[in-house]
Amino acid sequence: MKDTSCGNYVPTPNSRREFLRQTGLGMGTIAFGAMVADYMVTDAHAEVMANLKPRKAPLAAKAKHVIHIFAGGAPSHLDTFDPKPKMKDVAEMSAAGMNGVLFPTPFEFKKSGKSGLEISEIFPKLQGVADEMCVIRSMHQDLPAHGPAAKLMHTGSAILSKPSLGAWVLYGLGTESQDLPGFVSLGGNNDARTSAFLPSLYQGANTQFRPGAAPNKIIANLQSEFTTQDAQRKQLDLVRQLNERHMQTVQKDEQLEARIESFELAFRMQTAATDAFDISKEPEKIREMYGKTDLGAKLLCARRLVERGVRFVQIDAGGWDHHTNLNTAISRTAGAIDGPAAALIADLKQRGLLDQTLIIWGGEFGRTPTTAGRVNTASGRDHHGKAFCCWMAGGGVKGGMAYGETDEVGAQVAADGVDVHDLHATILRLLGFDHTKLTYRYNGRDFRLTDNFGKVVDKVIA
Amino acid sequence: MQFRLNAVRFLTLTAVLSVATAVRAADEAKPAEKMDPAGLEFFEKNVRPIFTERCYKCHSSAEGVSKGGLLMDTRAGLLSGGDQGPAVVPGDLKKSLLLVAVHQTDPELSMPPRKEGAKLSDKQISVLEEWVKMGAPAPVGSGGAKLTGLSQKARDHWAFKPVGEYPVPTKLSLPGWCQTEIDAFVMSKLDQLGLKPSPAADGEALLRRLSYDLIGLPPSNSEVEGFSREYDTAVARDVLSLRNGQPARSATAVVERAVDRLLASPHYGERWARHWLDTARYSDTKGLRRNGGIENFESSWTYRDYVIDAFNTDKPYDQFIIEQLAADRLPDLAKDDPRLAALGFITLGKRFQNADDTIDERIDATTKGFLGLTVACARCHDHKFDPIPAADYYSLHGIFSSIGEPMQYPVIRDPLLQGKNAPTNAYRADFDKKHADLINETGRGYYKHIAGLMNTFHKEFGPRALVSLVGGYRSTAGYDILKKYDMQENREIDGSFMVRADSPITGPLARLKRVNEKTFEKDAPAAIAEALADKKNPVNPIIAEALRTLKPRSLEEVALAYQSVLLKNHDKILAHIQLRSTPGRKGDKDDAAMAQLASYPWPLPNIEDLSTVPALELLTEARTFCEAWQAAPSQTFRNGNKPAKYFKFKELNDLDITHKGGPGMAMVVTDNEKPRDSYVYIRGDRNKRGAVTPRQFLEILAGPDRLPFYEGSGRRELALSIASRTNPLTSRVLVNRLWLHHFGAGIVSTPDDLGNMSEKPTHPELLDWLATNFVENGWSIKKMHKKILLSAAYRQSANPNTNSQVTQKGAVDPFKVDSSNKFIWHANLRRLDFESIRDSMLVLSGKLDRALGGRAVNITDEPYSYRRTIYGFIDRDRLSELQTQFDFADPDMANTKRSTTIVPQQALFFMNNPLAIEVARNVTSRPELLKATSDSERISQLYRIMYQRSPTVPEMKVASEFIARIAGYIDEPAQAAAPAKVVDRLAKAKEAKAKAKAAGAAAIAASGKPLQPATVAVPEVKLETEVKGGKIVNKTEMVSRKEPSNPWVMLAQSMICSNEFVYLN
Repeated sequence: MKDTSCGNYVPTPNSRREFLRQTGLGMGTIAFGAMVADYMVTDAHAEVMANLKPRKAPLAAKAKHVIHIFAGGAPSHLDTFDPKPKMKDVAEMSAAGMNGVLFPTPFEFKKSGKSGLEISEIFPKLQGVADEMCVIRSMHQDLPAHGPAAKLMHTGSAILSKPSLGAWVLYGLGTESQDLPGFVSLGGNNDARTSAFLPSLYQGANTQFRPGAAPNKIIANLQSEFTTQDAQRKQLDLVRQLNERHMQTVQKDEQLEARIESFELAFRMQTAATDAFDISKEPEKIREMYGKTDLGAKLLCARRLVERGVRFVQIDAGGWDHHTNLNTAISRTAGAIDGPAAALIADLKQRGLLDQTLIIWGGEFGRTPTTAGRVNTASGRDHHGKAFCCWMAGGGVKGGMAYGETDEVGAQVAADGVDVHDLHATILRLLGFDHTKLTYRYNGRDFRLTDNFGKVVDKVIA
Repeated sequence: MQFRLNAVRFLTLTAVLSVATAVRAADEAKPAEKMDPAGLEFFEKNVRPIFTERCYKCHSSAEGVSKGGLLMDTRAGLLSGGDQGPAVVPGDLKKSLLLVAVHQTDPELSMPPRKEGAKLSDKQISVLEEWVKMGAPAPVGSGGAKLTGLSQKARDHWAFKPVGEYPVPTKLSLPGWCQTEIDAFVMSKLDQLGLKPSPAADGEALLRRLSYDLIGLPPSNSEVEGFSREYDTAVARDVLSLRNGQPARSATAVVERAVDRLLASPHYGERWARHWLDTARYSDTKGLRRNGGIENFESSWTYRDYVIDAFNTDKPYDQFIIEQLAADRLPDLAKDDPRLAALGFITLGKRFQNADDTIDERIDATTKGFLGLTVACARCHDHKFDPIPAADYYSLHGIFSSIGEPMQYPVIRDPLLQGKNAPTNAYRADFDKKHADLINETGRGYYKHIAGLMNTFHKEFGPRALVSLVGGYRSTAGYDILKKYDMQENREIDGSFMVRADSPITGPLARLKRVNEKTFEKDAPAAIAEALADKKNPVNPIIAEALRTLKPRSLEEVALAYQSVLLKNHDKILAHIQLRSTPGRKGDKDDAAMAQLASYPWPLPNIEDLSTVPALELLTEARTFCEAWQAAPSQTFRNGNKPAKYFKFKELNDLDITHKGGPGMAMVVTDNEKPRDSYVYIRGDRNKRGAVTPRQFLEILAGPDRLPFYEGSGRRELALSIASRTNPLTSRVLVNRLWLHHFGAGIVSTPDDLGNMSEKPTHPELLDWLATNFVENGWSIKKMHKKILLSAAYRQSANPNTNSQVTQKGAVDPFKVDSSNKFIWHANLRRLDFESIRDSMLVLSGKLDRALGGRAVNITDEPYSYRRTIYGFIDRDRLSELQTQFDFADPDMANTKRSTTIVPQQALFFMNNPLAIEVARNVTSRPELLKATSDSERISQLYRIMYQRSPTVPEMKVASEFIARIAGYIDEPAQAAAPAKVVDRLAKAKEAKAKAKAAGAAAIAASGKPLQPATVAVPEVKLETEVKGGKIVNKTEMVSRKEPSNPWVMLAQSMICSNEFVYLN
């Protein structure tokens, strides 16, 4: 980019040094310490360092892994984590600026745990781990349409093609297990795992995970259908010999070495990933605890991945678009995640992993306090962006607390508003990053997850 | 004049206004003037804490946030203010928007925001007022601290300066090394740094490099042998020449013949079109996925074919630009002109719900693509680094908002599917028949669907009309009516039921709605009479008949009367709908009144009018149809779902993108009849309009005296301004890209941004020389390739250890002087891109399908295609794993330069993907291997096929050992496996050979005609596809899982895995 102060050029891309930076793995003889020092690329794009080696976050932080449970469809805040007991008194009244009539939640909230955090009865199991949970009740956004809003939640941008949260985290922290992808997406669309303009090694690995699926087919090309592992080992030994001969005739080069190493990693990944995805290896008690359902399996798998050093696991747990029949439908949707999520928190805790694993649950927006027509069993709630909620657990967040307030009917944020950029800033802070400094230069501009926005919600950090 | 600020305190309010002006004037005149210390103290003690606590979070350079464009941490920032005007007008309480905001009386301008906590206290507000009255003393600061590219410094950036005329350097250390002018420039730099060029690569490496660079495929073994022989001889001759003090040109002549041959290959266009498609963010889908399925462009592939043809025919680059932006305005344009496909450059970008976003995307692609400028950064504010004011962005916005797309794209002659490559008549006829059948089926389905819904509609007309009249079902009355008549509540019908005063059907109902409820019985007959007497909006006779004598007591009775009319005539109405669906029978001729009733609430055209997809789509997408009654009880139309059993849009879509007998259409744009200039949107917000900006070119490039465009939208003039000899960017950007793709690094490292944020060019004079030479040679890209490829600089070895300064370990260590090889003292080692890797696998297996052009196929999934990778379907929303793992360019925006990452998933592909196995099997079934009689001969042949060279002795040993060793690890012994397969494979190989012979003859025919458009006969597009599960699927065979492993296959696969296979040295 510019002349540096000493008058030297920063190396051009495609130079050997950039290759060195862009080669993901197996840097063998290269000293990493020097490169790890400047994780952030604010000063020109000087040391863009594209590899997956683990690196220490610049700020003190507890969270090392993230499990993002995306509740697509937009869960109602009023029936889950934002109690409005006084709404019962104004049921079926109309409210200024809103269509329909006010619709108090049909569910009871319970003060749970020692903290007394109020959680709806549709989450009986989560009530049991309330003291680990930090609910943010004052989320808000401007665009209550599923597609753009989900994209905003995943990437910080509702429209443009930007890297996903997981890709930024992987870019910032690398990953602890080189035998597994650093960012795994268990369902969910492209927005949830895209690396956009970040080098593609930061994208989430797409998986075909579902309970009962063969663990060796969950990642594309994971295992050969044509050769035994033993034969393949011999084959890779040959490849190594071929490559060593090749290197003698060209030059000793970091990218060539990295590619040689990538085959060894791939060979190990065949076993390591197959093992990580195989939840049948868990004791029956644990599988029961998570529940033998789709989400139970996914969350259990997420734990196995995190345990093995995977940096970021993205899970799609949607179905929250309850325009009608909220009463029965939301209970069902909540019931599907309640047990698995509570089990995940408890299980991570008993393994001593909760502190370093940040769990995030939430959707793309909230729902109206009103319903069309009358309040009855068929009532539902429409899209609503001005107020919604999410929760986090572990990873250095304060447990047993609710942050922020909405007004008396949950229509607007009343205090301590948190928008999506603020949430992202907070997540990055929990992982040890100043969100304004984790940047990547692309086409002449330093991009960040939070664009020009975002403020850290310090009060939720323990 | 010394003006003392604290004097303001004592002035009366009336005097303040004039003083305020004086203060501002004084401020501007002497920005560094010292503030009164007492005033500053007041600020720091009383005002700053309020700002710190409540304002700076969003409005300070310290936080790096200037919401609404306002920075509050300097006085200048406060005075110049944000988008809405000055935040503070010293002394003026009313004009100071800061005070307006904190009082929170104007809902549009209330601060701090409610969600950030309470309003400021009265005491805090009075402090601010007092402070403003004092003249708002505060540290002056630099104020306009906002970054801006509108500075002289930014304007002075080299890339905006005219392309310079630089003499070719002459005083060089090794003049004999230089083969072209390029070498003189390169050597001149090397001399400055005390570096020496590396020796030339050997013939094998050089031809491989040339071949991949120009056609994206490896040379054949015999080509390598022939070239190497000639080249080695020529190099020896050159050594002699140099020794005799004569110019050494023999090797260059050999290289030139190879370059000419490769440039004339039709595969050249395929290779270079792919580079351009990266820049042009080409995709086959819109990226606007609403309903799940493939949201594909109808005919995107014609643009891809156009680009391939443009490269093959060496279309002058200026012409290439003009056609892509304004082909529809070419002077000599035929209706089916293939050049119309060029407009896909504009249309094939990502689509957005919001038109401004689509326009933005097009501005971004155009300016990055042709100019290497990030103009789209100026959408919300002036560009932060480059001299592009937001107004210039909106000048381009005006152009792109003055264009539209026609309902039906023109059918064109695809440039590649002509003559022998054209689909046969049988294919065309098959397509036409299938297409017509689907259209007819859909048309008839439409009437069937209407008839099916009619019964329910007639039964429910009364209650639903009432719900609509009383304000929709969200109203209590409406809800009660629904319950009374036991009807399902449906959100979608709310308010959209068409009860209108000018409707011949519901006109009287609308009038009766206005009658007072209390006196309804008395006043209704008069209202009915009035309606029936309205000549301007005549009431349908059947309705009129039913209402004439009606004495309704309530609106409900009227609605029920309507219902009974509809129910009574139900069968006749259905008969009329049937008439419409019968060709040649015009339903309305028989009974106009009934026909009119039958058309309510759906518009019912005659079937002849439904003979095209756009007409059908228009009908089914129209609000009147889809929205008004989409929630009819069958609910089939909910959420935009079309009743699949009646409407064959999916099938039509699938037919369009898979059937090769279908017509190719150009994805054109046309100028709107009334082109319009755009307003500047303040901070990109279309609701906040600034000044109107004329449609014109960028000021920094066109100068202050530029004239607005007047011809239609101005696209052609825009194209001409870009494709101009005097445009300083266009030619530089293009030659820099050519350089990048040949050397692995550009002279400017960022090919899509040559603005102020880009790195300095490594060889600025060379860049300008190339740009000038390019334009002087008629913007010929092929000539520029030749210029570059004949240089000695290009020909250098990629092994820096061969450089004389490295081997001799002299005073200068080139690794220290230029570790990243910016100055080209050796060639760069380059990894093949995704296309080259896959295409090489196919060509080495002897299976490459050399057909050119046509509809997209699936290049990543089983069952596999053997077409070149450029013909793969590109879904910008769902790039295949393989594409993303191998660094395919993100097709959402211009991305000329690919990254080269290395991840284990790539290794897994080579190790485990069935394609790798299939290719390895095919390689071992090639006749050369089948004919071989010994293991060592087989190994030799494998090396020649895979690496285009013979194995060394140690390599031979390693391979033989592997063959011996691996046999013990696989199911069947090596010897047993081969014979069983040989017969079958031999037959297949024979067939393949015959095909290859035809293709080879074609290639030879081409080789004699350097730099000519490719006139080679290539095979017809054969591969057929279908759509399954929202994906294009090839109609080919799966790779056999039963065939046992075989040592030779494993050896071949190992070579595919090896570095030698994927790296160019």
